[in-house]
Amino acid sequence: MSLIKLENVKKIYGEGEVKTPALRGDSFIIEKGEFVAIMGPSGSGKSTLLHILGFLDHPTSGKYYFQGKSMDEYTDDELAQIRNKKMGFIFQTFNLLPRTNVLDNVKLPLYYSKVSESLWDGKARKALEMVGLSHRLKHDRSQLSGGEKQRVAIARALVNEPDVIFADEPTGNLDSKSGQTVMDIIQKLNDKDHTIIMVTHEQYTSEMAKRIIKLKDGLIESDTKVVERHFAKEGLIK
Amino acid sequence: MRIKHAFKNVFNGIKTNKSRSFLTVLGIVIGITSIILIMSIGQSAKDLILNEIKAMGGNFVSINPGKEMKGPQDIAGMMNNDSLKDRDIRALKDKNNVPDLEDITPVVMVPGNVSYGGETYTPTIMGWTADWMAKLYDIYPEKGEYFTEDDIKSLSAVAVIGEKVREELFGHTEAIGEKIKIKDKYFRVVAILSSKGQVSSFMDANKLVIIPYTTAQKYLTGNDYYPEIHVMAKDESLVPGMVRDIEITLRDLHNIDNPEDDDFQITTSEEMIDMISLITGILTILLTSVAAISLVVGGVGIMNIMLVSVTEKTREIGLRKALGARKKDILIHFLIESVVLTFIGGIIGISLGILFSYLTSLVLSQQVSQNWQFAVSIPAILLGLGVASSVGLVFGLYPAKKASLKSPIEALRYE
Repeated sequence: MSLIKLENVKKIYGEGEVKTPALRGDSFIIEKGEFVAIMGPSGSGKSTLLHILGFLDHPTSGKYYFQGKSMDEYTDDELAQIRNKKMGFIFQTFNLLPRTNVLDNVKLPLYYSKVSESLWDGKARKALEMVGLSHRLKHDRSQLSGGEKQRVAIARALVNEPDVIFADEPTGNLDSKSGQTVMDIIQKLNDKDHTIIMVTHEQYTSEMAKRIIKLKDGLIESDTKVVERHFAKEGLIK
Repeated sequence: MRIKHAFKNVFNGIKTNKSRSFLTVLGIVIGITSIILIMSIGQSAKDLILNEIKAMGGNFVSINPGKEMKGPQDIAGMMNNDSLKDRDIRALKDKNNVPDLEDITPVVMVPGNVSYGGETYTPTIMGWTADWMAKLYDIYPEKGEYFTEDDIKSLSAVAVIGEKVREELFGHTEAIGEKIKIKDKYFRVVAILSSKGQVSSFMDANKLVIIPYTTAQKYLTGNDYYPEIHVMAKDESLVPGMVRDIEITLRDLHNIDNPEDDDFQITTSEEMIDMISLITGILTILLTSVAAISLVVGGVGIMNIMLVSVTEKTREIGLRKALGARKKDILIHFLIESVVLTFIGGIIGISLGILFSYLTSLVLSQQVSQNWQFAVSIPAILLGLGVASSVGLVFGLYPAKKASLKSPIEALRYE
C-alpha cells in the first residue's frame, strides 16, 4: 500500500464562465520514506497540489488515496484528525501564533489530538531539541530570527510524530545561512524515515530531495530521481 | 480542543485588547447594572411596605366608601364617597351584627395647618382615636396621655402632636397644656408622640396631629361621613368571618341586594399584601424589561466586535484547522471568547449594581423611611449572570459559526 496515490487529479478554480484550471489531471505515487520536491514556476499549480495532498483542499475531480483510502470517504472531522495525527505542515511564512511562547506554539497540534496532556511538555521539548532550540522555550515569536521561527514551525510539525511532512517553500523567507540550517534539519528528518513533500521554486533546494516532480501549467512535466544530491550540512554552493 | 487552553487563549486575547474588550462589554455592564439596581430597589420597596402592613397585624381591616373600581362605569361610584357614616359605626359595633369585632374607629382627614403664637406648620391632621397609634404601631406618648373615649364622645378640643410638630411650634418651651390653632378652633395639647418617626411609607408620626374624629367632623370638616374606617378582629383567624359579617351588616343598612352594587370596599391586610406584591412585581418586571433592551444593544456590540475578531484571526483559524482543529473546535473557541467577555461584563455589572443599590438605599433610608433596607436578591444575581452569558452565547454564535466554516486554505492565504 502506497502512502500517497494520485489518479488523474484536477483542480479548477472559479465557476461558470471564468474557470481557471490549476491542476489538469495529474497522477503519481509516493511511498513511505521518500523525499519529494515539487518544482515549477509560479502559477504551475505546485501549491495547489501540496494543499490537496495535505487535505487542506479538495480536488475538483480525480482520486486521491492516502494510505489506501480515498479522500472522499472521509468526513471533514476525520480529515482534520488525519491532518493532526499523520501530517505535519511547514509554511513559507512560518505561521506562529502571536503572544504565545515557543513551547506553547509547538504544543498547538497537541491541543487537537488525543494525546494525554501530561505528555505534551515532554513531546514539545523533544521536538524543539531536534531543531536545536531547547534554549528558547519561553521566548516570544517577536524575539526570534526568521530561521529560528521556521525551526519552531518544524518542531510544531514534528510534535505529533506524523507520517508525512508537507513543506511549502520552507526556505522562501529565509537568508541563505538560515535556509541551510532549516534544510539540514529537514534532510535529517528524512534520514530518520520521515516522508517529506516539499514545494520549492529553487533548483538548488529541490536537489536536496531524492526525487523531483516538475509541474508546468498544471501538468507534470517530469518526474525524476535526483542523481547528484546536495547536502545542506556541506554548505551552500549556489 | 482542550477547554482549558481555549480559556487561556481567550484571556490572553482580552489582556492584549484591554480597551477594546472594555468598551465591548460596557453595554453588558450597563444593562446588568440597571437590572440589579432595579430588582434591588423593587425588592427593598416591597419588603418595606409589606413589613409595615405585617406590623399592623393580620387582624387589621380597613373599610372605604365607594364602589370597587372594575371599569370606567364605576368612576361615578368611586367618587361617591359619603356612604360611611356614624350609623354604620354603631351598627358594626353591635355584637349581634359583628361578633368577632374587637375595636373600630373612623378616620377623618383634615387639610390645613396648625399655628401657635407666631409659628405655623403644615402637619398631617387626622381625626382618629389616638390610642390606635399604640394598637397599630406600638407608639405611646412620650409626654402626657392619649385622649380617651370620653373626649371623643364629648367632642373635646384636644390634640396629640408629633415631635416635629412640637419642635416647629414650641421650640424649647413646654407644649403640654398649650393651645394650638387649627383653622379657627383652639385645641389643647394633651400628648406628644414618642419620636419613632416614620411608621409607614404613608405616615410620619413626627409630623402628625391627632384629634378626636368627632371634633374634627363637627368643627373642621363640617360633614358627617368618613373617608375610612379601621376595624380590628379579635383574632387573625376570625378575619374572613368578620369581613362577611361586616358586608352583611352594611348591605342591610344601605339596602343593597346585589353585592355588585356595594358602596363600600373592605381591605384586609392579607389583601393589601397581595396587592402590594402584585404592583411592585409588575413594576419590577416592567422596568427590568426596559433594562433588558440595553442588553440586546450590548449583545449587538459583542457580535460586532466578535466579527472583527474573527476577521483578524482568519490566518490563525486557517493554521489551527491545518494543524487538526475541527469546525467544532473553532466554534467553541469563539463562543468561549464571547461568553467570557459577557460573563466578565456580567460580574462587573453585578458588582456595580450592588454598589449603586447600596448607595441608593443609603439615600432612600434618609429620604423615604428609616426602615428602608438594602436588599440584593440571589435570584437577581443569578439572573444577571445567566442573562449575560446567554447574551454572549446568542450573539457570539453567528461570528463563531462564520469562523468555523472558513476553509483552511482560504484562511491561510488571507493577508
